Amino acid sequence: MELHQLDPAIARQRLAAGLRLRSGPFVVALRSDIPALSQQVLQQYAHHTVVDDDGFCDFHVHVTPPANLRRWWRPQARFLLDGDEPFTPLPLHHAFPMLEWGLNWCISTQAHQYVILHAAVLERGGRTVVMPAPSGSGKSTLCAALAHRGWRLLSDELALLGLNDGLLWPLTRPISLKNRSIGLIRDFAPDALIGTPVPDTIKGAVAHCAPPAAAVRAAQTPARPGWVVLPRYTPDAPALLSPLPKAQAVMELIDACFNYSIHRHQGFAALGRLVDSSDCHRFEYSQLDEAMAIFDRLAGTDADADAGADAEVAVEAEAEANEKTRAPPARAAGNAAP
Amino acid sequence: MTAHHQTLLGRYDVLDWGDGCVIYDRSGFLTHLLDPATAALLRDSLALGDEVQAPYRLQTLLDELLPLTGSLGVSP
Repeated sequence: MELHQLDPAIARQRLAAGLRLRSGPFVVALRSDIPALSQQVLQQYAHHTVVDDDGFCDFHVHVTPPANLRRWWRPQARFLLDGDEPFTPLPLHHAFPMLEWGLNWCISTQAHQYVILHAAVLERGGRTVVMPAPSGSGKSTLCAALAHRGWRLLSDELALLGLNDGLLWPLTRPISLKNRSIGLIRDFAPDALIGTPVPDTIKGAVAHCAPPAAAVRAAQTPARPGWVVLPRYTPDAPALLSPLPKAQAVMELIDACFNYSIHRHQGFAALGRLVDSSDCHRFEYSQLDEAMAIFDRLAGTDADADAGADAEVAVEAEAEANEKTRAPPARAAGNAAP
Repeated sequence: MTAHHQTLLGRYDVLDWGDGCVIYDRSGFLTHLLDPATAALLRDSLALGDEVQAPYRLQTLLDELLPLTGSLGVSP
């Protein structure tokens, strides 16, 4: 049963007692008595599957106001995992972003059956595009736009790479939009379900965009690698796809990997296989329509091998021609912080 | 293009795409990117059979080629 099929009053009751939702390969027992958070969960997780209470659960999460004065005076929200509180409380109206950031933390610190990257992942024609990028690069904006233009959303934030099978596993959850990108996606995809913006978070104003229902329903279906694309939003820049040497692509993925130091040489091999199976590019953009056209061309190259090869050469040749008049982007040195 | 993969001296995992290569050091837990010119020096050493015939020379070369810093990934 999907969450939206529950009567809203019953869903809120179950949420207050502990509601179990399937999110990709994980089951989360979510408990909260914060009305605004309940409303956001019902909206953003509407198509996620409600799981019976007696099965295994990966994460027991409780988001609740403190038991002290801060329940009423400048009210706050606390995030608890198995009763432990890993973060300092945030203002109460930050409860939903806090839940999302907290879940990201739970997965990236514990789900080591995967190589976990700070990256968006989408799929088209059976192949995924993995987009690692630091905050502010326009990754989530691009991800939300693609997710509403024919690409299946696997994840906005965490790429789960199977250590042994080399597949990308879906973790289809709300897309976190920040600041200007909230209005951009509202205009670009009027059918997108975007929650009320939460102002003054550490990332500025944040609003979450619900994952498309079809993507949530396909969240048990992994996909093979196809492309690694490093996006970067640059104001007024024309959309530009340029080739990225594979050795550099591996380094970029390592810099975006949360548990590389745990997997060591096995993680190195897994990321090497991912890059081996992918075409690798840098991508600079400012206009979403231009970006969609380039990504459609990328995906089209897979549908028709011969014509596709020509199209890809055209994209790369165009990029090389453009690059002659533009300075190549510098490689990020050291560790990238998400 | 598929990478040529080999493990050197039981310690260094090398992925070489020709236009650059990456090396994981199992002892130092660091990953290094070699530019094409530096990667060519390593290839020359391997072409001479250094891994089998002169492992000390190969180790010395790797000590020189690999920078002291490398990538560790990120902390959540």
